[in-house]
Amino acid sequence: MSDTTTATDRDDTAVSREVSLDWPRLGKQTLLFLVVGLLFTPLVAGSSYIGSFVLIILVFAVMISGFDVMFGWANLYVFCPATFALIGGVTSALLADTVGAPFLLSMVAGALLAALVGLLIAVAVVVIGTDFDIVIATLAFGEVMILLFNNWEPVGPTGIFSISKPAIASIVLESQTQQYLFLLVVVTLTILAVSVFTSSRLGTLVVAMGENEALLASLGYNPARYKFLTIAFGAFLLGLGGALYAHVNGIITPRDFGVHQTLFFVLILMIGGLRSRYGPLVGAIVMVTLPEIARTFGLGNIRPYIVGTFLIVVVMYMPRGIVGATPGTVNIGSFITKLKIWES
Amino acid sequence: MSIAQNVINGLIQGSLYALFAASFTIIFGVMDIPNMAHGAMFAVGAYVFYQVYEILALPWFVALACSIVVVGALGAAIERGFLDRLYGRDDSEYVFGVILVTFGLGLIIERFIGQFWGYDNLVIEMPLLQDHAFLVAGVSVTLAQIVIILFGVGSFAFLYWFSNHTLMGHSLRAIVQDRELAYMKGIDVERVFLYTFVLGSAMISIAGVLYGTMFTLSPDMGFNLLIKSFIIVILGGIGSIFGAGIAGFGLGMYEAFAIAYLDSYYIFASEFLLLIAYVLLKSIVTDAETPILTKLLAYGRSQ
Repeated sequence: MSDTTTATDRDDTAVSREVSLDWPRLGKQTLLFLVVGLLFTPLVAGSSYIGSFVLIILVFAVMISGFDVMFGWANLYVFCPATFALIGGVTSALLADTVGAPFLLSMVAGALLAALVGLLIAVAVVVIGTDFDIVIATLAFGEVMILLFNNWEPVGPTGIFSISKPAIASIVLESQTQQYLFLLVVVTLTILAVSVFTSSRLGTLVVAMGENEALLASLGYNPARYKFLTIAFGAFLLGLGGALYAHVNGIITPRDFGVHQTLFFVLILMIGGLRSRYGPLVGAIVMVTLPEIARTFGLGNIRPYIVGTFLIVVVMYMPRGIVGATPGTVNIGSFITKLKIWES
Repeated sequence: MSIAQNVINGLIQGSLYALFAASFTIIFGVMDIPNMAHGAMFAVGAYVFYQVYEILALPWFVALACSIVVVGALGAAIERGFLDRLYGRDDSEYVFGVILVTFGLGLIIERFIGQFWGYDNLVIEMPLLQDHAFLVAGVSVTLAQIVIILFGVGSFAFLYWFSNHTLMGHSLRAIVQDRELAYMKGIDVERVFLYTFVLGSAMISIAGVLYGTMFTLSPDMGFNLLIKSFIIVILGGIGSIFGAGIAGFGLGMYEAFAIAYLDSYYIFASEFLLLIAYVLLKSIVTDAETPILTKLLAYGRSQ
């Protein structure tokens, strides 16, 4: 009897309690990140070779941050992140080039469409329920979408090419330095958005859902709602990243966004560290730079060896990734403190 | 095309799938290891055969033996060196870990094949199998195709016998159900798993060789078959060898008949959609007491 009363008490406190965000601290960190990013501008401006893959790193950081929301924070085994990126990229490219919509609008439209598809996937995820079946169903969905794009006239197996460069209103961002500054702002905003989301009360409930769904349901919350929310939000960022990829790269091909790309996303995320603020960026830096360094040292195309070895090493020896493994930046600690919401 | 022709084409197509799916059934279905490196091991089998038979010009049975030994050893190394460390992990962490590790291994192996033998399509010339053809119901069937059909059916029959009527098969299923209890019952868990994994590897190498005699070799030759095998094993019911056999031949028949009416794009897409529908239906049926709308909207609100 007494147990039941404490349970209800705890329930009430959990509902009424708000997690306060430390806005000044968050603002300072965001500014610091932006300043550090600006310091790298000369590097990008100095060499178009370095610049080209710095841009790709930033684009990946946006996409992987989105993937971290659903895969890391919410612990949902959605294995079609590359598909969301593909949808965002294709939508944005078609809107900008065939319809003639302004870049910022088409980019957001692509991200919104990806979020919409994410909602559909979320319905399937809620209905299916078991991790393994979710993996299978989402992988199959990714394959279906690639077949669909391959056979859809405006895209086709060769994809869309000579996509217009990103532009703000009427200013076209022609040079890599301009694109770098633009992407830096987008990455900063993405990281800020994910931080705000994950440290808010909503984000706490999302983590709780990922850790113990039945417990959350027993407290009177509907886990399905948080699944919808995280997958849609994650898919939005993935779609945004896909749109940036299409416009920065100038080309987007459906088969580049298949199972291989999805597993590459998982790898980047795991190397950076799940549920960590800068993990996606760190992971993207490592996984995009290493093959490039190997190439400049004349080792040829050893990307499959690097990716393969890292997949094995990360799973077997480093499940918390680089950022997760560095003391001080460990986010897992703050995540445990957040779980203290359950204590009265 | 007559129905007989379709049936024979379906049988050939189905046995190509069965060829690959048989060993995948024992490894993925029964042993619960979603081995993403299976396609690469399939390719290794074919390439080793090519090396010994075409380049060293040794007799085919020597080449086949070499291929079985190499892929078997590779399988043993993968099982002992990598998978062994993952067995104790939590359910989803285990599945996820195995997928990533074996996918990584597959990437490395495929790239190695590409560097060693190149990315050009290679052909195995084997007049013994390729030049003898028979007319069956108006369709020309080569000896290679007959061997493939026999091997496809034979491997499923063998696996069915192995898992249901041998001590090793019984031990294997006991281990998959409850690893710790199997230990306590005195089953040599490690040895049973190692032997079965090597058995699966040996079967996939033979499959690779047979496939190589019918088609060309390329480093990623196994990837599409691997995806198909995932569909087959899941649709057949995970753990059911008989079901996987039926699903494999069923898929082949479906493709052979549907190709007359549909683009191959629709056929492949429909198979993936079938898989999604199956997974959705399965969860709806197994969790019938909670209506979907409750799950979506009101779960946790009832009290």
